[in-house]
Amino acid sequence: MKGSEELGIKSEYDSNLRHIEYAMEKYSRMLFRISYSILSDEHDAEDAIQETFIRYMTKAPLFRDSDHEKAWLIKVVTNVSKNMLRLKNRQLIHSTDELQSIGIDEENRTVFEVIMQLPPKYRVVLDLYYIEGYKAKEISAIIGITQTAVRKRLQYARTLLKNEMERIGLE
Amino acid sequence: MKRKYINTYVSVMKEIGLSDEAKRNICKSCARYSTLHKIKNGRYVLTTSRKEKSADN
Repeated sequence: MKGSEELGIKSEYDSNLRHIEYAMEKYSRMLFRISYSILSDEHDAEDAIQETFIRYMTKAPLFRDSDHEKAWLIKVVTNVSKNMLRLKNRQLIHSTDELQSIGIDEENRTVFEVIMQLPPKYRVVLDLYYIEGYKAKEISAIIGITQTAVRKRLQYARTLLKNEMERIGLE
Repeated sequence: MKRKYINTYVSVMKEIGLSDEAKRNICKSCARYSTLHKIKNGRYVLTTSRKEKSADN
């Protein structure tokens, strides 16, 4: 391999690495949360994030702005995670060690376990609405369901959450 | 008072995040893959350098 090509490839690698590190810092927390909501497994969620960033680096369109970029990443991580779930069809198992490694402390463990009892499709909608601050119309465009379905899922998820928390005496 | 439950939900879910080591590994893998992808798609042409034959050979 010629020296100049080696240098070119090295600088391309460095530039790609910087680009990914920037995007990772900006979006990884949000993407991990969404993926974990669907997959309920830390390692699977990491794989989904990796696949999402590979697509981001190789297939992403020219983004209009950062909102467009964020919505595109959410859509991709949701689709990748759903596909992985379909393939694996996993049972929901959470060990204490895993909860600590994803940042949940002992005090909030019970609340988190209640949250994870909600079906993934409701958790994703709750996450996008309450944590990411999207409107029902935006969520419907991102995950490909109608606005009415988004509102119904939000309503049902809130009720489920309330009932579960009351049942175990958390509130 | 559903909002109370939602606040609890939001505060717990906001704690979730990737570990620093996982972030580093993903960044490296993605940078490697995307660079190889560009090479494969002709952004760079890989060539082998041929050793010059000496006069003795």
